[in-house]
Amino acid sequence: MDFNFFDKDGLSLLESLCNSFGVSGYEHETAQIIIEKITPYCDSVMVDSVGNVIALKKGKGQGNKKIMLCAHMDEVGFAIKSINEDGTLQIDGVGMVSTVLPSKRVVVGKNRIKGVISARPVHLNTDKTKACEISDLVIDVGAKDKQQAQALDLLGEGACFESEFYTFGDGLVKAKALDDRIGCAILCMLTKESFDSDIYFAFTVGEELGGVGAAAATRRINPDFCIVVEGTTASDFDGAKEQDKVCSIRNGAVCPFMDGGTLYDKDLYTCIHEYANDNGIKIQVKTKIAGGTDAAKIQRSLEGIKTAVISLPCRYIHSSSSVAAIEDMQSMYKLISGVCKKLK
Amino acid sequence: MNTVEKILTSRPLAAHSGSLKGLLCQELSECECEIKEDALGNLYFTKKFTEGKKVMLCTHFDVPGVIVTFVDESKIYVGGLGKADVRRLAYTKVVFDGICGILVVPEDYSSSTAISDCYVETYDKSACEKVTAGDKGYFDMPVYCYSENMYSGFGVPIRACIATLYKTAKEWFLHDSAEKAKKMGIGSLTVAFLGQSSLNSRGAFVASNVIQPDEIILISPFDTKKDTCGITKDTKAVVKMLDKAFVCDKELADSVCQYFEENSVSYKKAVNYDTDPALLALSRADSTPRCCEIGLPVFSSDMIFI
Repeated sequence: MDFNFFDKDGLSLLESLCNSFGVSGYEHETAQIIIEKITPYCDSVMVDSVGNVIALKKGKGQGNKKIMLCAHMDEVGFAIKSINEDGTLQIDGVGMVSTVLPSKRVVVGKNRIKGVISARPVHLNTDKTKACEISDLVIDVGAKDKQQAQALDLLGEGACFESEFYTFGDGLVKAKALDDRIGCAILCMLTKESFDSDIYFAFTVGEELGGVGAAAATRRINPDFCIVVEGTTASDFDGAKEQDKVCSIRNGAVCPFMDGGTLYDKDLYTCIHEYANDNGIKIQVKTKIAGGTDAAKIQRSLEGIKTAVISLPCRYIHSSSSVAAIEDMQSMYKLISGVCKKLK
Repeated sequence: MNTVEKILTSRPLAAHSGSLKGLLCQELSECECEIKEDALGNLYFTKKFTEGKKVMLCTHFDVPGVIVTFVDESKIYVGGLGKADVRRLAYTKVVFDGICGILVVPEDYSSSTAISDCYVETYDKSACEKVTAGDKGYFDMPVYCYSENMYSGFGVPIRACIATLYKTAKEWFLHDSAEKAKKMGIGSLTVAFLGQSSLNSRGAFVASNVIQPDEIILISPFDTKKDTCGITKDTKAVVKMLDKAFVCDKELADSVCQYFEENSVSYKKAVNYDTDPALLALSRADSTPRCCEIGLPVFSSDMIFI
């Protein structure tokens, strides 16, 4: 059965995952959606002590390899570290770049309190050439003073963007947290397929904080191979040199040979590219060695794990409005499904 | 050319040490030791004796190079396979599987310039067409041999450590060393060459999990520019008695010093030096090994004495 991201159901799953609240350390809501979706199709589903969701779909074959597919549930966001006298919230970024933040809508804490990130008026800026830092920004939840804000019990809570999911233009999707709810969505849909090998689906926590969940999941599973399913930066802006674009939307799934944290397994990399080329699936490599994924922790776990990554090119990644192409999602899905059937 | 000379002039790159691996496997195959390679490119040679502790001797296995990220008509854009000072590499020859070019650096290059800020110029469209993203290249810089025991050049210190460990493996594995092992309480000895060392010691994270040793001795280059312990060109080894991360085990270091004294090896003791990142990674194995680091003195211009 081929899953199709052009179908309403596929996009609907991605929408519910992207809209869920899952800042690093607060992934529970995203995990619940995933557990609900995959439980009917898996032989076992468990949540480990750090919060990873790990599911097993036993293969039909015998003596086959263990394959781990890994997607992280967490998204970039904020942690509330203190409350100011005027009732605004002081924040720390969780995997966040400050330049994309001013004036963005957010929701805070378990009660999803609405808020807005501050934007300092131009006339109050002493240094107009300096980009704002996260420490310069606060979340305004509309409290009239510190006492009223304290009553909301938000200290230590997480906050994430509030951002509408929609399709637009020529087959594009705009949402928050495409990194890595796209990976979660693809893994969820793959549980419906059947494979010869045992497939372990690891939905991990804490990738944006360095991969604490991935390390724990790998130790539990001890796979023969691992494919990390991710979102990655597409810098395909007008005027950018080809070598600086990293990757481009509508050019297919991204399977890099290396990133900032991992030199990927050469055999697995070659296997993925050969499968794509043999089956007419669009695939590209990164033109810059940058970024990092759960793969760094996975590859170095136990006695070393053969690891590769297949990513979705996303424009404006880690912002409230990530943009990606549905056709690239479809390429990723077909590629991962096919490679899992090929690996033995 | 003997094996040590072949090692000193080899071009090992992260995850691309094929020819050197082949050479070591071939040379050590007659030793009847177990040979193993893991997913990170670590290469292990293990000899089991009888009862006793598991000891691992190891060293770095690769020197910095480049990896292709993008190719246009005559330029090959690259990223660094490991960190290297671009000031030393500017306009040197780079070789990708037979395709040659020159590393072109920005006009205002400095110590903070990264390899990814540079590109390789081939002036040859047909040559560029043979190179693809992911291909690895090495810096083709000369290895100078001033006398039969004096070498210098980019990457030579790492290769000298590899050669040292190769000689050690031969010594232990080729000859009947059962008595020596028994006397030293060694039940098994592994000689490990750590893959992807130039990439934040990635191989080291895995190596001690694979072997689960009781004791680890890392052989690594020791930069004499930072020397405060009176190293001369007659100094054959530097034993780190105390490192900044407190990873080196005093008792193990003492036993290494004692061994050097009994065998008339000229050495110096070093205190309060930086900890090799690989040793930090190695020390974190589940077996909680005792660790020690022996430095091979490196003089100016990457000069080493064999």
